[in-house]
Amino acid sequence: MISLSSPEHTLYLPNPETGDTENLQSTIEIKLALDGTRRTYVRSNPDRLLSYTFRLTRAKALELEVFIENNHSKVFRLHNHKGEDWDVQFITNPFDFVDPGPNETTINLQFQGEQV
Amino acid sequence: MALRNSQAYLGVLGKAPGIMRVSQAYISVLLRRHEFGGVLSQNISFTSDFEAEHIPGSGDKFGDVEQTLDFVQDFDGLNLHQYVSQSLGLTQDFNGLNLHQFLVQSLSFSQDFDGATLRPVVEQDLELVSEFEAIHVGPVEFDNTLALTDDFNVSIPVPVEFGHVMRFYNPLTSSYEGLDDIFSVTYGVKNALIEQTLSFAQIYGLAIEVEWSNELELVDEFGLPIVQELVFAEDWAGVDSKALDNELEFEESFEFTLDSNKLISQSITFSQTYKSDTGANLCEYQLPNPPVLGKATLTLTYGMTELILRNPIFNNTTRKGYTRIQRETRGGTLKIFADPIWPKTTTLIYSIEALPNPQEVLDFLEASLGQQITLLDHEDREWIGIITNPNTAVTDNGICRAECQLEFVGELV
Repeated sequence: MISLSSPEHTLYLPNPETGDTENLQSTIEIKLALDGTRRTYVRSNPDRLLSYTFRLTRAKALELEVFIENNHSKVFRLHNHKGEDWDVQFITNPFDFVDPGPNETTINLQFQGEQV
Repeated sequence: MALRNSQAYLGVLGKAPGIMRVSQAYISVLLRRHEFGGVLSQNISFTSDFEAEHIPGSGDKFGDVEQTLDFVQDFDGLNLHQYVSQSLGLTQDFNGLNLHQFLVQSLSFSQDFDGATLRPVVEQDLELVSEFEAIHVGPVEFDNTLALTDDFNVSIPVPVEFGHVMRFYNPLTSSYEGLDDIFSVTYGVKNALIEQTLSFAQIYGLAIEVEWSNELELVDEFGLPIVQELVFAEDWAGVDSKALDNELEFEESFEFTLDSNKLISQSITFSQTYKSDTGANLCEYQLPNPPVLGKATLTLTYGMTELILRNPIFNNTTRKGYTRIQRETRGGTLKIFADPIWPKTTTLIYSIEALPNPQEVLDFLEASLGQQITLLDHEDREWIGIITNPNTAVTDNGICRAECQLEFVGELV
């Protein structure tokens, strides 16, 4: 189970669908000198990008919609299915709530933040 | 003399009124003396049955169903020296299965008995039973109100024995929980006036997911020719609560032995207020009601032009967009800011297949180009907004197999 906790709200979500991803946010720049020396410039970043796809009931999707409404530009605590705590923000914008069946909604959420 | 009448009305295709009135008058004055001295019997039987069933596919369903049964029995007896028995029975049954409409059932019962110069035994029984059974799956709001009032006035010029018992049974809790009233006078006092008034009201407010138990007992014993009033009221309302026990006991005892003309007054006031609060901060979520599937059609309205489409195929999308500023500092820290008053947009994306007439869609798109339209979606929600892809391709895959995709930006009304 996953929980999203802001100072005002806490929302519990089921585990994400398989295929969740985690990306580094650090980047490098490679420079090649005229003599062939290769130099790399590193721009390190402690943040990670988490991408989760949730399959929710319609009622839970409405709860998530309200949570997004109140926290789309705030930092909140994410407790994921691996037991990790992250301070993250929503990267996704806009948010697509897709109804693939009756009483069923899927949504892909991307979070960026640092593990606590 | 007995009069029986019956009327049967069977409505198959629609609503039709059925009214029947039966009256019976018996005037005993016209009888001869020796007939009057015999046993006088008067019976009226009255039955009103109403059965309604809708056969699927047979056309319009029944509208509102109203059934009214009025029954009045009057008996006037003057200077009667024989045994007088008067009974009035009234039963109303209502069985409703798979009812989707508002249901109102009311049962009114009144019994008046006026006796002057009656002797030697007077008996009056009043029984009131209200049964309500509902078979329903899902949340239900249920109101059951029972009101019972018993007024009794008698002037006793001679010693009299009087017994009066009133019991009230509520099948919701399978117990006698309403009212026990015992009234007895063994040796009456000449010219004494005995007044007894009982008021009883019990109102249940039942909400979803409530474990509910309510017991209300009221006992009133009266042993002296004196005015006594006992008023008892308990209000209990629970909404989305856990199991809650509330007990309120009230007892009033009064004993008086000596015969006296003194004015005796006794007053007891008892009040109990119970309020339960979680103590925690209330969640400020203002969740909208979950929409449910409505007519399964999309109705687009622009001016006097209306376009009704099938409901969209699955994977319809609700896109919530928020205006915000997203930047990264030189150190790579993510900064996101949004003012609450900045605009938020909701976009509905529908794919619709099996369009019967693709030209109608194109005509509507052309007529409403860039204009605000009203959209009543398949979940019976009304939106006002603009179609943002008027250049959508209406693909004709064959007869009644055209399809298109619509994007609509708007707000809920």
